Amino acid sequence: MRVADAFRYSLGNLARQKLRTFLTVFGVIVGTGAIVLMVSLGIGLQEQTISFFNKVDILTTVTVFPQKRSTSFMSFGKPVGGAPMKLDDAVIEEFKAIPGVQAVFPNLNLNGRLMIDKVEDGKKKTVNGGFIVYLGLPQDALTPLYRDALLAGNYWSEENPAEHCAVVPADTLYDMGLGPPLAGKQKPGETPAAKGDPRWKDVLGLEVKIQFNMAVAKGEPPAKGEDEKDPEGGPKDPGEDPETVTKRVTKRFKIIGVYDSANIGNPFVPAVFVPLEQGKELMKMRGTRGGTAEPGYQQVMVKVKDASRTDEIRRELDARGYGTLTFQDVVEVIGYVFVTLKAVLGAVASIGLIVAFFGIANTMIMAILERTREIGIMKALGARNSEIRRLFIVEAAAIGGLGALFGIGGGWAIGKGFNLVTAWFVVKRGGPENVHLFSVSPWLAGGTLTFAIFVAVIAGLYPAWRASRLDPVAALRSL
Amino acid sequence: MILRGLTRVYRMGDALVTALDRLDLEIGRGAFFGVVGRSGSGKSTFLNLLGGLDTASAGTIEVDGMALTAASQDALAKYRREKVGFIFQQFNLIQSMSALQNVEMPLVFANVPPAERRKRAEELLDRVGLGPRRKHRPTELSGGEQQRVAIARSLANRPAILLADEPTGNLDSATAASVTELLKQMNREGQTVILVTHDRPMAEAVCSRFIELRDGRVLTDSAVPVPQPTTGA
Repeated sequence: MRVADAFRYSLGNLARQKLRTFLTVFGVIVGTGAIVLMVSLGIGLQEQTISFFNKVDILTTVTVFPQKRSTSFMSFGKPVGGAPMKLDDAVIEEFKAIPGVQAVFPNLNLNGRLMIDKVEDGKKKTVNGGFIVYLGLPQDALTPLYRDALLAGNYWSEENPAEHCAVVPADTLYDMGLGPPLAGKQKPGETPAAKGDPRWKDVLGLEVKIQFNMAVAKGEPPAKGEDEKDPEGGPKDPGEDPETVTKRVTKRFKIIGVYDSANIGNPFVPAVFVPLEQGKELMKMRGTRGGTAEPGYQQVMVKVKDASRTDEIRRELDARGYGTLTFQDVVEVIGYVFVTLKAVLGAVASIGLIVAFFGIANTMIMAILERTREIGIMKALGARNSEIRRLFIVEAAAIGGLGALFGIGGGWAIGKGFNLVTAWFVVKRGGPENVHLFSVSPWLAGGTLTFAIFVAVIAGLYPAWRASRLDPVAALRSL
Repeated sequence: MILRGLTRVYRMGDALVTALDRLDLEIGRGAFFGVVGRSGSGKSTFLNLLGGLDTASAGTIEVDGMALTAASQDALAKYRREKVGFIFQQFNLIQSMSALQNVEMPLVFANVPPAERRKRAEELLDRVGLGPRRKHRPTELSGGEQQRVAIARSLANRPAILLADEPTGNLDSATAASVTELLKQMNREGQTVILVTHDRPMAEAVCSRFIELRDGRVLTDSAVPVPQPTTGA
């Protein structure tokens, strides 16, 4: 019997019992639809999470540590032993010499609280802008990407080495009631700003305060206001030495530029960009780790010219004995988390397909009882047992395949509907436009189809085997 | 076709029923061979064994040198597909298929390409006089028409032997006559036909030779001039 004939016969039989076929197929539709919907939620959440981190900037960044770092799920980013290498200005110069490297600078890892004094209704008022990363950048790190992100004002430059200056994100300013909103963030009645919007003019030149909490050695005078004198004698990080106290330090800066943090900066916390030297100054104030005679940096950022070379340069740095982390490591760790999530979601949804399994098996057994005589006829006409078996397995597989096609389509459509609704809400509330919670990948669709057919074939095996084993004489005598 | 000591014993509950008891027979090519007997005489069992649908408890059947009694399931399927054509009292057409599709069925199992089997099936339906009704389903055909479709189907693979089990049992006498005539015509064209019936006058009228079975044994054989009770009867 030809394959095409087997399909025609099987599909013809499914068409004969339209209601029963529909009911059985519907079970598969529900099962596969649930799988597609649940797993596509997992994929969508994963994509959203990655896109949250996936600023263009981050793809070209290698973070270098003195020691190798773990990239495993459970202990991501922790030092994994080995003798620490020293990261100092000499090493930075070495890194700069690696072909493909754009800029190298220490990550000073300073976090502070951003505040601005405003005069409102004749009263002086301090607006708190929340936590901010204080990122010291050298001149060569200000790539075209950074230049493009500038909305108003300018960066510092060699000709214009502004003292105590900062470039701040437009969103943070807007949240503090300063300057116009960016597109998608505006409240009703507000006009979003474009590059060079005159409304930022008032912001430029404003003074901002950043308050840092610093661990310094005990015995230092407590913080009073600002510009406390440098603590001496190499204070240590908190947690390492109980002999330290936390001191509050406030620094003042003039806003010289406003930037859009969509593609650059820190993905978690807004970042204020300052000249590297200005950052180092503060670092000296905090002192250096361990108080060794020749201190090193805890982290060095290596900016790569082209994102496609990030991995190559990372391997080069690894080979030199340093610890490195890239965005790829983060994506992989996110992957581990989401593999688990998707597996759990898929397993829960598979219950529907297990129910469908029994439906298919039941339908096939019914079909065989009904067609016992027909099976006898086919045997009398010379059908082999294997051909009878194949006919019923193809029939079961067709139920699975048909159900999966509609189920995948239905799951996709429901997810799409949810996406439209959530996107509408998110945009209405000033969120980004590209939010989608459900995402069906070709792998999910193909995998679900294969799985459904597989389950259906398994469900059809026993009925098909029973059909093939029927005694032709008895089968012909049946009604 | 040579049968030696052919025996078929069924188990019915706790009792053993001997449907065929040590049957010895030889049937020549081109014969119109009849088997008559009352119900329960073993004539259907005889036909099922000859058609490779049933397996013997003891004894041998040899058709064209092939020992059916030693054949595997697949070999028996091949034998049914290539060597025999069945005609049943109940017609046994597949209800969901048209007359044409029913006639094509044996050709489907024989892997004949669609165009070729369609042509062959149309020829056969024309031959049994049902050319214009080929698109009809069995429920839309009369009993006689259904049986003629079944005869066309039995001939699809050009079998060596036609096995007809009470082919006229469900037909009125006029229709029965036309079906019988069709079988006689097939036989005149060289087709071996084995006809099982309870209707002794019909067997006498159409068969070149017939036997009468009772309790699984040959009671009379028309080839033996003076009917003799078989040993032990």
